[in-house]
Amino acid sequence: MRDESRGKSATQEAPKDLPEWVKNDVEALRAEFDTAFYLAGNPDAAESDYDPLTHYCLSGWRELRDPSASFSTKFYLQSNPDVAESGVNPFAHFIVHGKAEGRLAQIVLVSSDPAHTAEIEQIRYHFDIDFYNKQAPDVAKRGTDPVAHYFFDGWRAGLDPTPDFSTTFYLQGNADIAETGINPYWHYIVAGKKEGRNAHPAQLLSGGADNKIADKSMGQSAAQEAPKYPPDSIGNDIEILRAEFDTAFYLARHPDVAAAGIDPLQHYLQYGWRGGLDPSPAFSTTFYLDVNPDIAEQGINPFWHYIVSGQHEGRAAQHPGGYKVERLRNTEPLEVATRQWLNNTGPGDLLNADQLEAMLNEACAAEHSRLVLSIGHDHYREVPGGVQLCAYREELLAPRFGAVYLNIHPWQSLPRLAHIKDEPDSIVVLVLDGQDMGKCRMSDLILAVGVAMGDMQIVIHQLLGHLTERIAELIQAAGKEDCWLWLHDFFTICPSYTLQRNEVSYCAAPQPDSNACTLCRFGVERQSHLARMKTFFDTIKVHLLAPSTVTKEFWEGHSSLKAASIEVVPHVDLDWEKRTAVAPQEQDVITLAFLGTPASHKGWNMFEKLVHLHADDPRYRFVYFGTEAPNCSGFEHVPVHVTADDANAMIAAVADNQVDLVLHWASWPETFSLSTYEALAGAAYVITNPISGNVAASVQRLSCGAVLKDEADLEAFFTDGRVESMVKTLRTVRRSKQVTHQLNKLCYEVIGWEDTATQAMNKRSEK
Amino acid sequence: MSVHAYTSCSYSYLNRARVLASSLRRQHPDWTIWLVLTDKEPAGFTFDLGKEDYDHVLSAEDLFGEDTDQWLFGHDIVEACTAVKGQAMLHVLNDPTCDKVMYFDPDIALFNPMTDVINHLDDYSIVLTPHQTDPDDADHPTALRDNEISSLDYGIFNLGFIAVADDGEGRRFAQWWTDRLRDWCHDRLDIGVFVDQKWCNLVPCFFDRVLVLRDPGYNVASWNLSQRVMHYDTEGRALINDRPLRFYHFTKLGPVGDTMTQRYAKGNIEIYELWWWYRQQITTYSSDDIPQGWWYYGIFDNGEKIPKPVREMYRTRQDLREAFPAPYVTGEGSFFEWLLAHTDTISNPQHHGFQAV
Repeated sequence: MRDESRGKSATQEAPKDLPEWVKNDVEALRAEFDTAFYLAGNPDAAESDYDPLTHYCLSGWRELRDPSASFSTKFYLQSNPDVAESGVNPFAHFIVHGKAEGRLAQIVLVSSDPAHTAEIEQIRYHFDIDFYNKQAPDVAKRGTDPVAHYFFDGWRAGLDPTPDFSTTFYLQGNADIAETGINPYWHYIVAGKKEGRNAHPAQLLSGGADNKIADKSMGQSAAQEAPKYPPDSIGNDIEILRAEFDTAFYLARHPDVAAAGIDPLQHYLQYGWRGGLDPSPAFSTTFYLDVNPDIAEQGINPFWHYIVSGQHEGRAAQHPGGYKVERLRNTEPLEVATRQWLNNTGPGDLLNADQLEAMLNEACAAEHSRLVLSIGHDHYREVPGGVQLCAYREELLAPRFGAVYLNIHPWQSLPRLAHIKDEPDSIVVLVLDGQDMGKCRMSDLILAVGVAMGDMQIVIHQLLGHLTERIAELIQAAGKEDCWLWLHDFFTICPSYTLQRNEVSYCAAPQPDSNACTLCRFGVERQSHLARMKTFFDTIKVHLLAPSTVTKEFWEGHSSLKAASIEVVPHVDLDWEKRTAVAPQEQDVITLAFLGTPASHKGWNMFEKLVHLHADDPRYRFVYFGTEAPNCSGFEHVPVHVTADDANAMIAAVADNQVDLVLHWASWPETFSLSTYEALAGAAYVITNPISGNVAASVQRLSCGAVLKDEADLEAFFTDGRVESMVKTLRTVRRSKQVTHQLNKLCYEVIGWEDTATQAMNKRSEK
Repeated sequence: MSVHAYTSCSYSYLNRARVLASSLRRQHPDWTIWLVLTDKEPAGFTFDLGKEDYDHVLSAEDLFGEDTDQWLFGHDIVEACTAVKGQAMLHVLNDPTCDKVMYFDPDIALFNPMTDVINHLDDYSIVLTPHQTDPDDADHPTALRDNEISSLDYGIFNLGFIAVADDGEGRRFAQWWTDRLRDWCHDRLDIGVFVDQKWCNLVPCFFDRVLVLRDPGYNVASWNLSQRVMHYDTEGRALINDRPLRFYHFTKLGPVGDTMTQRYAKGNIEIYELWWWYRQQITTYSSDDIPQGWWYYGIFDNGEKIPKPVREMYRTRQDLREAFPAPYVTGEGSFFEWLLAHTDTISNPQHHGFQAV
């Protein structure tokens, strides 16, 4: 027992016979010195003739004693050799100089990382402090938090947090944990215990994990019999999971769950993950199970595992390569994919040459003497899309030019040209002025068109699924030596008509023997494809119709084919004029939209990413305009179906919804991009990237948006103030000007036919 | 000047070896290509050299004569297919048309010509490619462990590739390597040996005219992806750190390889495209009539798998080798019968010996 009567407290004045420098130190440290701490750790000091503070200043620091729990004399001297060499009192140096100089008072054990703090607290709940202090008495003596000490350093030294957990045993038996460098006891608490991992050698003798460690949160021994994770064993973690689970995302993707009124998280835990459903856009169930066979084999719920353990073990929630790799993982070789396209049923009755001839004669003899023979890849009235819309509009315009419109497209759709070795006489579907006329073999159609047709023009929109050899024969049989070919895409350059190497990366159409082509799923096909295109272009005079200058220039720079001519024919013209109508009331939020088919080569994935990044940002409103909403959440869906009869539907929807910006993050050189012009005609601006072809060219030419250099720039655009600045400019323009647009007459712009009104007028003039 | 190339494998890796040969042919149609097969055909499969991209095939018997069976019994499949590499190199060098020889692992594919290496062999006798040519950051301990520390463990140079000139120093190396592999081509990390590879740490010490090729376009693999980035230039040429990709080492096709690739390729989509291509090639070049995991020397003649501890015991005990000169044969008086009678290595193989890595 200390002799309190001697009254050795730090508040006492220092004895007068002490050297001046000791007196100075005593005075400097009086407010900082922890007398109780010092006496607790140094009982001999109580027996000294000096008070504890003077004891420390005279000799204590030289004996590496600590003056308070927050200062380590030994650490300070070791880490500051200049102080050690000077012979000054280290604590006094710290108080007077060191603190201001940023020197540390002791080893910093407690991280500022909130994740560490949370993990330390999880460990603390189970930690046996007395047991630990017996293993590491210095830690307690220094007043260091033993739990934090174990969390950062103790486990590495082989110390144990409780008598029931052997750090060394756990690390030796679980190499996967040892490799990750995470705290083994924390892993055991949050995951290892439930995974059935043994905590102590004694468990081996008892035949498995008996989990002697008390689970205080449950107030009972949390014994686990099998290393399985049925939902009921997730128990305590359900709220942790709920915080990470994206309910809106899950319900948007699986409306049947919403309709059934089931708790979506429970649905995921019980059924969803087994069916490969994802609990949030940031976690891929199938990926996690694929790359973690240990988890898959044990039947562990992958999302649960990731949240409580996997993420701390360095396991990835989704592929670091993002959506492109996900797409690649599901990509089949071209010929395998082609086999999957094949029709399971036969074509039914086919029209013969006589029937075809009669049909064509009747159509052309009725009131029109002109015929447009249009070649496409699918039924333009049934399949939505820009190419199809062009064909549809051409059909509707045909009567104005005294023409009938006969479209042929392959009965067997294919993701490449048809191969003669598979079917030398392919079957086509005939659509006459929008009416299905039946199907026939190309050989019969070739015979039929050879019989006196009137003024015919042949317009190719797309050759996918066709035999170029038969198309050439058809053109020649019709008595023609030339045709028009729309450059809606770059199918004349590569079967990957949007120039997507392996369907995930823009390739810029390099030479077919390049590494890029050799390693691409279209590489082998491209060799024969180009040879057949060359034969076609050598046989027929092909007049190319480029929807934009940038397309014309790209084609000329990347194709070795010899075209008879190439002409730029835009689909739409825009004009800005002084506003006459009242400007709409401006919204507080910035509306960002995506228009049309949500395809990756049009930038849908980037739109999704922006939605995800700014889901909680009240400054933004995200809207998708298209026929069917993709199964995602975070944006509004405005149903829009553009047809030739309602060609302005998208423009009207953009204007009505006061869209500010449209994202068109194309990953290929768009040849025209109708959606870009719909956006601009709807008085919005467009955000795009430099490789987007006519999108970027139009944005730059018309100064209506931004061409951002890459994805990082796009993300920065929405956080660094540029978006607000651009919308302010847009709205200023929108208040004073309105946009008008004019749809062009497609092939009729160039084929030299007068429309019927002009014909009639000319006849009247002649009379 | 004539260049020869060779690889070594069992029938289980024939699909990979075919992809390699196809890529070699594409880049170097004039090379002579050898296949070293340490295996025998499974029933129902016939190897037809005329239908392969290889010019020659060598069996273990061609290289080791009548000692083959006994010697091979002391090796597992990885040890065996690497142990023959030295003797095969000597064999190829002895071909009168051979001026330069290159070994490629079967799971390698070439994408651009090896012209630089061919030229280097005019000035050097031996060309080696290190696993890593650029250090990882100190604050990435996982990368340090996976890459640099693994190299310290398994060997500095990757012996999936080596190029040797038919000159004095090249032949001196080939003979030394052959000698070491004859007796010490084992997976024995516990004594500092790792098959044929770790021996070559000594090559720069023992031999002159050694080139350590640090061009990042060679031997690209998961063990150096942390410091290498792939992209294509406008001509579609595959580049690694702006140098042409010469060959990629598709090590560990499957979940383990995928994990390591993801860890270091991260978002480098071109690397995943490369793997996608390789998987399709493997499918194309696989023969359905080679059973999965087939290795003729992996089993006793009764079909029982030969455990690793049995191989270790046999190769370390002279008495057993003398008593049982035909170790694969089972039946009365056989090694197999002896094992059953005197050990539990057949019934409980896991309790014996170290585990191969």
